[in-house]
Amino acid sequence: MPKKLMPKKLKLGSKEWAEEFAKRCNTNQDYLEYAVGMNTSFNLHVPDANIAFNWRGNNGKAEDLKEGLNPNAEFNLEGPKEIWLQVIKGQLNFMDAVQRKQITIKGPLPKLMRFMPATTEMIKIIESMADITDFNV
Amino acid sequence: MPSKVYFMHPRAMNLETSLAAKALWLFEQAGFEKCIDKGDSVAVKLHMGEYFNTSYLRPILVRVIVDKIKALGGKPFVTDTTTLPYHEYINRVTAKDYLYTAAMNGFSPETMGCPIIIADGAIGTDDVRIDLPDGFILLEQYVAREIAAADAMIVLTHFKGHPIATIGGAIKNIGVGCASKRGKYNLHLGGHPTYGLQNSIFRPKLCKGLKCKKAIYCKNACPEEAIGLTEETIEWNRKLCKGCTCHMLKTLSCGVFTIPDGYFEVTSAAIADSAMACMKTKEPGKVGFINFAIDIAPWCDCVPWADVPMVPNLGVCASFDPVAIDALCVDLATATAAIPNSQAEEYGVSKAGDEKFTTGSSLMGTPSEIQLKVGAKIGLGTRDYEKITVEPGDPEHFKPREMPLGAYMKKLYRTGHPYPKEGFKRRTEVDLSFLK
Repeated sequence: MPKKLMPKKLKLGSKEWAEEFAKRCNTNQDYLEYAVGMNTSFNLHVPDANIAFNWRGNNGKAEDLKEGLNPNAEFNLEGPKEIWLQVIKGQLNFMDAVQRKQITIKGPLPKLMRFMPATTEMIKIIESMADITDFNV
Repeated sequence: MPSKVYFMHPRAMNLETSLAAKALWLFEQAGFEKCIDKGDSVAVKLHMGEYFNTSYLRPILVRVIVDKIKALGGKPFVTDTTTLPYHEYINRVTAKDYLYTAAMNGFSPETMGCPIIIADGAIGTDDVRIDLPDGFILLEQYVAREIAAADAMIVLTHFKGHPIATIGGAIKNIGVGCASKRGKYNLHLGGHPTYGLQNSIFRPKLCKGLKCKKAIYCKNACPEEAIGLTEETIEWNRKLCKGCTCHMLKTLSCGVFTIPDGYFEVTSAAIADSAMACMKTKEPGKVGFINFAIDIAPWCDCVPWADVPMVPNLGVCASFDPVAIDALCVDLATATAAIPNSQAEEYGVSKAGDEKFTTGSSLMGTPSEIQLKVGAKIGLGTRDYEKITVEPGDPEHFKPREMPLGAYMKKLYRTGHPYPKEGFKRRTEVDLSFLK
């Protein structure tokens, strides 16, 4: 019997992990349909795990993904590792975390409210990453 | 011609600068005594706060006005109306629920010194129909009967933000707050062919059905039974939707529903129309407005919580013009820097000069000026105001008893004194250096 190949695990928050996430978003037709018009820039920051990324959304498509924080990004998403882990594992609803201020979104939120379907789809994509994520960060 | 708006700043260091004293003083300085003839039935309209909301007007601010109306020979009653079922944990949807919530929040006939009447009846159907031939969107509106029947009205408003209307000021206090539940369906565009919520974009693919942790809310949200959940997804019969907004907040955040284009803007306009309907139930000069621009939370007192205020307390104002008084409050907020860690700061409108409510309060970035713009267009009032700063009144005017306290207590102490004859047992000296 040939050995069943396990998918390679990517360390949560590593550049490889972020690139895989961006790839999944950029090829998800539902997400791209919901994100038409979402042209903005984001920082994602997990201070207690030293994770920081920034990217530009071009009709939702993640472009120019880079490590580190962009001081000019329109939106900053920040929260502790434990909370992000719960979101990724599907144990905590992302919007609940935002409303409880466990995750903060700094920036003109009404602009993002129009893209809630895209956000929900993005969370589904994040949850789909659980299988290939090494959570030991 | 500009409307006069009488204004007092928010700081206080003595009796005459208390918010309660300012409310009473502005009532007089603005000439509201002229609103009330002897024997008039006078509605004191306010929002008594949602269940678990903590930023509504304090009862004392209402009581001083009630007492003033009584002193003028009027017959006051404190009033508001039942709500639509817009959130799963609100408790003002029937008159009975509202009175329970009002009592929890400190409003009762005992604390107010007058009756509290939920003006549109048990479930919100007790109303009068008002024609609005010149309405911006509404051509008729339904005003709660008890409010429509009152001879005069003093409108006490907690000025703050609002997720749909963007600002919750005097216009909204009467536009939404004096409309019956039937009127609220109307102004929320229930069944409207273009903007009604039945035209929402529906994406059942995004719903996890009964597997969602929040399934209980969506399953039980709709009084029309237009929404049903299956194991995997959500079903919606849009033909049954009457636009009560019951599913809006919950499902907006998961993207299952997207509100029709124009809904928020047109609802804001309808609020101004509805305010006009309310004003039509009164003779000119019989309605006075006092805005308390304090505890300026991003969202209304109609949610069962209260966030950190977006800006510091701005002051108290009074006017006969609901548009002018709201315009001044918006301008004052714009001119003021946001409070750190508030939603205004979080959403990037923190500087003095930034308009706070469009980004800081509205769910969808609906402009704060819509109510003002439409109000001016339909003749509800003018955005052009003359701000008249009022200095505090004489403390004698607000005293709780005729005699100053010393003379009063002197009489009482004749029957016994709390200070013991032998004095108190205490150490003669202590180590002051320990306390410094």
